[in-house]
Amino acid sequence: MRTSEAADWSPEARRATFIRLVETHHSDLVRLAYAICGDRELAADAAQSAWQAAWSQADQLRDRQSVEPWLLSITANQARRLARRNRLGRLLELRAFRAPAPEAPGVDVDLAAALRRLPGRDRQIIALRFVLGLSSEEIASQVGLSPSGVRVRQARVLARLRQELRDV
Amino acid sequence: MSERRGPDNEREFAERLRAHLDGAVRHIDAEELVDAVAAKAARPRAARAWAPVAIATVVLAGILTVAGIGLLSPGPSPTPSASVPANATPTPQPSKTASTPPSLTGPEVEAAGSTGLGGIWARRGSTLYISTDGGTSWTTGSIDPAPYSVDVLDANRAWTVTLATGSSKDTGSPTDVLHFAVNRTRDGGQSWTSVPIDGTFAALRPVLSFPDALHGFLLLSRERFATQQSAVYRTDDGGATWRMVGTAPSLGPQFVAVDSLRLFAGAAESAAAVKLWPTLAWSQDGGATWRDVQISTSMTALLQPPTFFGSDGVVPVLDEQSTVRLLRSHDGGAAWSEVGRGLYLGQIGPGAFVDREQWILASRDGSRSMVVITGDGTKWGGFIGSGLPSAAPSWIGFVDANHGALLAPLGDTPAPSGLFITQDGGRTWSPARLPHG
Repeated sequence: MRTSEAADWSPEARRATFIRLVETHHSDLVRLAYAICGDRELAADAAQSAWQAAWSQADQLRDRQSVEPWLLSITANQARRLARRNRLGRLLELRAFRAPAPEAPGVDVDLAAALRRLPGRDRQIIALRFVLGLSSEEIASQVGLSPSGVRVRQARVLARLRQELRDV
Repeated sequence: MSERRGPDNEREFAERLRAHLDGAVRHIDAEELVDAVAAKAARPRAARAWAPVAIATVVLAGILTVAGIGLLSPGPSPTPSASVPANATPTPQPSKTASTPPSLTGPEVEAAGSTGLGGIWARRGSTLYISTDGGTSWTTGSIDPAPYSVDVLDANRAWTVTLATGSSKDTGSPTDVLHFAVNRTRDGGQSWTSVPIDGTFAALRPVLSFPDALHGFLLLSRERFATQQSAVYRTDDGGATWRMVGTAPSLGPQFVAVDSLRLFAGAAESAAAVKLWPTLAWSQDGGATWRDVQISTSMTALLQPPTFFGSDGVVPVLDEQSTVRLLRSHDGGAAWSEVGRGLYLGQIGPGAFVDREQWILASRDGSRSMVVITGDGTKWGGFIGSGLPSAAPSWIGFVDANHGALLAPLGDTPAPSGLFITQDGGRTWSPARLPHG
């Protein structure tokens, strides 16, 4: 019945490790968050929140080899949370009759619109597969589907995007 | 309207998607970001009023038991030296004593675990809490605020492993120069003595295991990029002196000493794919020699170290298809055979054997699901743990069939972890009421 505690890091090790992690993973976390929430500012906030959460939970990371999926999972959660808050914010904005902000320069507006119409988990799957290059097995562990379920979902989403982007 | 058209192939789509998402990426200074994160985390937090959520017990849908298959769906080599370590030196410790009567605080802790003799311990900063009555009352002592590993035997005896004087920073790099020390207390953390471990190390993970008050083992488990071997040190005098007793090319960090002779070390789940460690290795001569336990090659990782009830051992193992398999040994750990299996479609979290027949697994998908496996792994059932936060637990342990504890974040991340206590086998949980340190 005896169980070891979760891993603990010394403060110096934690800082050095996190600096390396930020250098390695931050851009991918922003891309993933952007795919999920569709807003650059929110994506940056989500990535920063993810680092904050990761720092707080670092003692719970039992194995440093699992750090990438752990970070991706935290980022996806933060992006979804901020997106939910943003939707509420938009409702309030509508009540105040404020015009929506124009798309930022350089945005692939068709792709952005098509992504926005996808369910959140499909956006996450697409980003994990095509931006981060994760395998179906790795994506499955992130989104709670089976690997075959991921492959089916991915094919459907691609077909849908193909159709939507051809129709514009 | 853009002139772009739909993706004719996946590569084109990937490039287009990446170009789009790259628009959100800005240059950041990693050191600056990390220091900002650390500073924010160090800020004192307002007292968190955590309201336990009362949830009616829900029977998990989709529990099938078909032919024993449960389907659950929601969701440097260490410096080879056998010399006796340097003299023990007392470690200055902050003065902390148990106050009577204590004023109680919330459940926030940073680490927790089971004690060797049926208790629960927890660490909040530099305070060590120990309960020997299932979490009802607690004693307090001091503890190093950043130990690599903690092992608590009873209300008085505990050990930690920390970096020793002269160490470089532990960056996980093979170029680090690390020195470790084992610290011991015999008065519940009122005073500690530090003993340096001979050797210079890098990229090794220290794990302690004491089967009794005299015999203890320190496994230095190899990290992914370590060029060193794993090494085992032992003490036969309660931690006063340590000596290296054996090395092995690779031993996993899921480590337990069953007694003064039998030790087991196995692979952690997350590194299973890279075959960093053997799934399960054991020593029957106190760590001097090691050999791999012969189990199916499809089994890749231990969900927790082997647990023994007398000569009967049980260990939950994960295979390449994420199927949980229960293995039992009736000969003290030499031979293991599968007795039951189940495919858990949720996210597997920490587990604990309540007794030799019952294993409870906490889901880490935030659903508060508790999976109960009985019948030698052939019967899978479940319930929702009422009163738990909707967050991924990092540890669960049981003192007996009714009393146990669980460590989980207290809310949406970022959030500190909290300790929760159950007195009814995990059905209902309440935040631990820990005294001020």
